[in-house]
Formats: sequence, structure tokens, C-alpha cells
Amino acid sequence: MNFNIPSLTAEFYLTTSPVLILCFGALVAMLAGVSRRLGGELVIYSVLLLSLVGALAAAVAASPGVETAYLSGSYLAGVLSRFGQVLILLVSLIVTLLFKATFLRDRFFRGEIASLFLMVITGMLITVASEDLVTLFVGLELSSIGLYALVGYLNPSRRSQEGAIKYFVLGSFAAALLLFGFALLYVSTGSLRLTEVSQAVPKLLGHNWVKLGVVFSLAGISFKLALAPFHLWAPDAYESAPTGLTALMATTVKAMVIILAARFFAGSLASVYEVWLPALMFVAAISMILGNIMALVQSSLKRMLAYSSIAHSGYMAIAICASSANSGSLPVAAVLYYLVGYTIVSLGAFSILMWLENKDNDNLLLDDISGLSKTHPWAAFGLAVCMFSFAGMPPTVGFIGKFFVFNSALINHLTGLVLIGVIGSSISLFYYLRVIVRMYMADPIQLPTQLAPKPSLLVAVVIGATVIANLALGTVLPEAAMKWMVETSKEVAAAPGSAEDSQSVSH
Amino acid sequence: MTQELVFLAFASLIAICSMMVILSRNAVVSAIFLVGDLFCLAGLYASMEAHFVAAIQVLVYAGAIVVLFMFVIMLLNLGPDQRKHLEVSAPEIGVLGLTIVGFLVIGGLLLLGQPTGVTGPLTAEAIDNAGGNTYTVGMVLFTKYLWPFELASMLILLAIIAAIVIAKKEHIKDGDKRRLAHG
Repeated sequence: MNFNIPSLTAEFYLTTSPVLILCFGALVAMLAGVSRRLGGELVIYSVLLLSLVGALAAAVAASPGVETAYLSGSYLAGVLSRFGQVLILLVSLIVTLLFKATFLRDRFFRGEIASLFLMVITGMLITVASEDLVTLFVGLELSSIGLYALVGYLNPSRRSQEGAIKYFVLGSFAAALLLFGFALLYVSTGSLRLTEVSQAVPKLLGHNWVKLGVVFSLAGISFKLALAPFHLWAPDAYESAPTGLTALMATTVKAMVIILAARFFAGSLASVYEVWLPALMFVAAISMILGNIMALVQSSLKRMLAYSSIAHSGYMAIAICASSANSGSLPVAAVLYYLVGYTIVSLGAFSILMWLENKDNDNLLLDDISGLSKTHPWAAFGLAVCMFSFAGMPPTVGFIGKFFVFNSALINHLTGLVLIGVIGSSISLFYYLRVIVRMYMADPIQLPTQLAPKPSLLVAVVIGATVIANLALGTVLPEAAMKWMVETSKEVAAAPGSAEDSQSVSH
Repeated sequence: MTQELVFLAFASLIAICSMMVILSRNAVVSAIFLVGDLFCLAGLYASMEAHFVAAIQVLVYAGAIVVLFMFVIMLLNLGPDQRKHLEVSAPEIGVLGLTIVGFLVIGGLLLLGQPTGVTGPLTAEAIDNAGGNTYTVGMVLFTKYLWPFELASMLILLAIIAAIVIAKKEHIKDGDKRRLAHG
């Protein structure tokens, strides 16, 4: 038997450097946290910033232009991987900066918490840059397990621990489903590599084991995306987590799983779409209806945004459904565009909530922001732009994103799904506009503690940047951005090149 | 045929032991059934001629990890009052049983007589020719699966840190005090 000993060249270390830098940063943060002298807020803060900026620079610089697979597909470097890694790192960098301006700063900038945070990001970077099922699973678990602990114990209270336990129990169940699905795919195809699975699968169409594997994987992925009926953890976890982490969960986790789903369904399993398309269509339709209807009756803003994120996952799933037919890379490009738009808007909305919160009120209700336009006019304006964009009104990125997604679905004759999507969007108008009405047309109410006691330049910059990016992607940039997304998404369907200049050893 | 019988025997033992782990009222009994569970799993590996994995399964899981479980259970020392919370009622067992039987029936109908898939390159003969189980597992871990193997160490470190963060009790008290002071 021959074993290919991989030669771990300098090139390999360079391309994997984003992951390696974050791992190193996590270890440094953990060790610094132990020391009394080095464990201060400032040191941990600089370790976090340095590793995130370093990883970001490495991800931009070190990625090859052509998709290359290292270690038989375990690490996949290319344009799509770089897109995912840069998006995740940017969001986590902004979230780290925002934590510095909130009341949670002394809790977040501690060695063990910072180390958990960096490892969660590491897991996400691994997941977006792999086509090996084992690595994908390890990456997903790395990000999930860290989040279970962070959600409940960054700022422990009974409410947040309840949310964390729910998240943990349901998350472990979903991980088991996903692992079972991957194992069945391995048993049926004899390979753990997505490219090889995609070559083997068309010959096994009649096999129920393959179908079962695909369906189990679909259930696991739907859970991670918080698609109904696998969404039960999302409202509780989103509401009980500190808002900075809610922002992270709503944006980076979604980005990671959407890229994984694009590789999995639009890439490898496109030839057997008969198996997964009906299930995914069902899940998408239920999410759009249930998410929007449940969001109508929420009084907590974070809980409302959680249900709306379920609906947005449904819209993104439409585009994944559309990629089943032979339509090139347009649907995947559309979902990536929607993802970028959703990330910008969510980040804006959650950073405003994060800034308004204080120690005694870390879960804002709809009543709390009544008359916000009079007390905090710029925050109210930013939140209004975000709400318009969530609802999909022109001239925001939300409108263009929905346009691309529905367009790609219509090209592939998924009229029913588009109809449900449009109905869902019109339901969503009600609860998004209600926020704006409350902020602009109601009188401020007397709160026991004032919202956002001190102004922060950083928060203002972040909010301004998200508003500008939002409007720019909605008006002048869509064409250029979409071209870039199409370039990025081309890799999904193509098999990667290999960088295995390895020597063989036989025994 | 013999292999299938061995598989069926071990698989049903695993199912029974797993059920007993969650149904037993005494945590120590649960842990003992967990040992049985892990031993049967090792038996499954051995019946598939993965002797190295079977031995490691017994050494690491049945030997080390369950012993740790027992330590924790003994240190916690659950009295009869706390055990009451762990009881399961008859309807719950009924639902559980019905679900399992339902899955078995559906699975049996769908999957009976289905081809189970393809044989990979690592057959028993190939492994013997290559130098045995231990050698092959080591080679595969450090060549093909090097990246996930190294990352798994990161995963374990993360789990340890997460467990320590969760186990720190003082912060919860802090939060409660603060709420009392303001409430």
C-alpha cells in the first residue's frame, strides 16, 4: 500500500496562515490570561486585535487566485475561501472593537473568553476553506462549542444560561445528525472528499443509503442555518446572548454555513438534486412563513431580529434551491450578494442596539426605543435605514439582494417559492416599519436608566460605514459587486487543482 | 453470515445499554452501562478487523474516561432528593419506544436489501500487507488527515477552556447581587 507523505512546504504554511495566526493568538490570550501582570484588559485587547488583523492581512495576501487543494482537500485555498474568510474576519474585528465601547468590556477582554472567541473564529475559517467532510465537521464543532459557552457565560444570568443550554442540547443533536449524514455519504461513496463524492454519487442514484445521508446532512445544515422547523434554538439563543455575540451569530455563522451549503448542494450534490431539492424547498418555504409571522408578535427587538433572521435564511435557501438546475453560477452569486448585504445590515442594526444597551437593560424592548429620534437622532436614522433594508425597500442593499435571489429562482422556474418569498416580505414590512413608527412618531418614555449614556466615536464610525455600504450596494455598486460575486462563485462547481507535490512511500 | 450475527449481537447490546444509560435512576448505574456500551462498541470495531481502534476504545473510553465520570459522580454525591428530578415518567418512555420502533420499521422498509456502498482501498488484506492496523492508522492520521487531526487538538483545548468558563461560579453570584441591589 502506498501512502502519500505530504510535503508541508512554505507555500502550505503561507496559505493556511490565517488559521495558524488565530490559533497562535488564542494560545497567547489563554496564557496571558493566567498571568496577573499580563492578563489586563489592554493586553488581551491588543492580542485580539493583532491576531484578527494579522489573520485578515494573511487571508487577503496569501490566497492563490486559482482554487488549490492541500492535504487531499482538507484545506482549500481560493477565491471563495478568501471571500468567506475575509468576511468573517472583518465582522469579528468590528465586533471586537464594538465590545470595547460597551458595558461588557471588562467581561469580554479576559484571557479565557478572548481565547474562546478566537477559537470560534478559527473554526469558521476552517469550515469555509475545506472540502473534506471530517475537517468540515471539526470546524463546525469548533465554532459551535465555543459559542455555546460564550452565549451563556460571557455575562451569566439565569436567562442567558437557559438559552445556552437549549442551544447546546439542540446543537449537539444537530451535530449528531450531520455526522450521521456524513458517515452515510462516506459508506456509500467510499470517500470523504466532496469532489470525489460528487463523482461517485450519480452512479448511486438508486441507493437509499445515499439519499438518507443527503437528507441527514440537509437537516444538520438547516439547523446550523436556523431554518424552520430546525429553528427552535435561535430565538432563545439570540435573545439571551450578549448583543455583540448575537451579531456574530447572525452574520458570521450564517456566512460560514451558507458557503458550506453552496459547496455541498450547489457544488457536489448538484447532480442528485432530486434527492434534496424537495426537502430544501419545504424548509425554505416554512422558514419564510413562520419566521415572518412569529416576528410580528415579538416585543423584544433582539427576539424580533432572531425570527427575521430565520426568514432571511429562508430567502437565502431559495437561491440554493435555484442552483439545482444547470444555470451556471448565477444563483450562488445571488446568495453571496444577499449574504454580504444581510451581514452589513445586521451588523449595523445590532451595533446600534449594542450601543444603546446598558448594564440594567441588555435586552431592549420595542417600547424602550419609543421616540428615539428625539433623544438619539443619528442612532434612530441608522436603525431606520437598517429596517428599510431588512424589509427589502429600494434604494437599499436589501432590495437588490432580494431582487437577485428571486430573479435567479424565477429563471429556474421556482415560481411557487418566489411567491411565498414575496408574501413573506410583505408581512415583514409590518414589523420592520413598526420599529420606525415607534422611533419617529411616538413620544419618548421615561426609562429608569438612560440609553447610551456616553457617545462613542467608534460606534458612530461603524454605524456610518454600514449605512454608507448599505446604500452604496443598493444604488451605484450592484453591478460591479455582482460581477465580483459571479467570479467568486465560479469555483463552486469546478474541481479544485491539487498542490500535492508529495513523495510516495510504499511499505 | 457469522460477521452479521456478531454485528447484530453487539448492535442490540449497544442499543439496550444506551437506553439503560438514560433510563436508570442511579447515576452510578448509568455510568456502568456506559462502560458496557463502550465495550460493545469496541467489539464492533474488532468484528470489522480494526483491532487497533478496538484496543484504544477500551483503553481510552472504558478505561480512562468513564473512571473520570465515576469520580465526578462520587464527588457530586447525589442524594435521593436530587435523584427525583432525574426520573422519567411512563408516557415519556412510551413516546421514546414508539419513536424508536417507528424509525426501525421505516428504516427496515426503506433500506432492507439495499447495497451498502463501495469498498474503499483499505481492506483487511491491504492493511495486513501494509504492515498492520497500528501502522496504517498512524500513516493515514499523519498524512491524509493531518489537518483535521491537528485541529482536533484545538477542539479539545477549546472544550477544556469552555468547561472551565462554565464551571466558574463566582460570576453568577455577582450578577444576582447586582440585580438585587437595583431591583
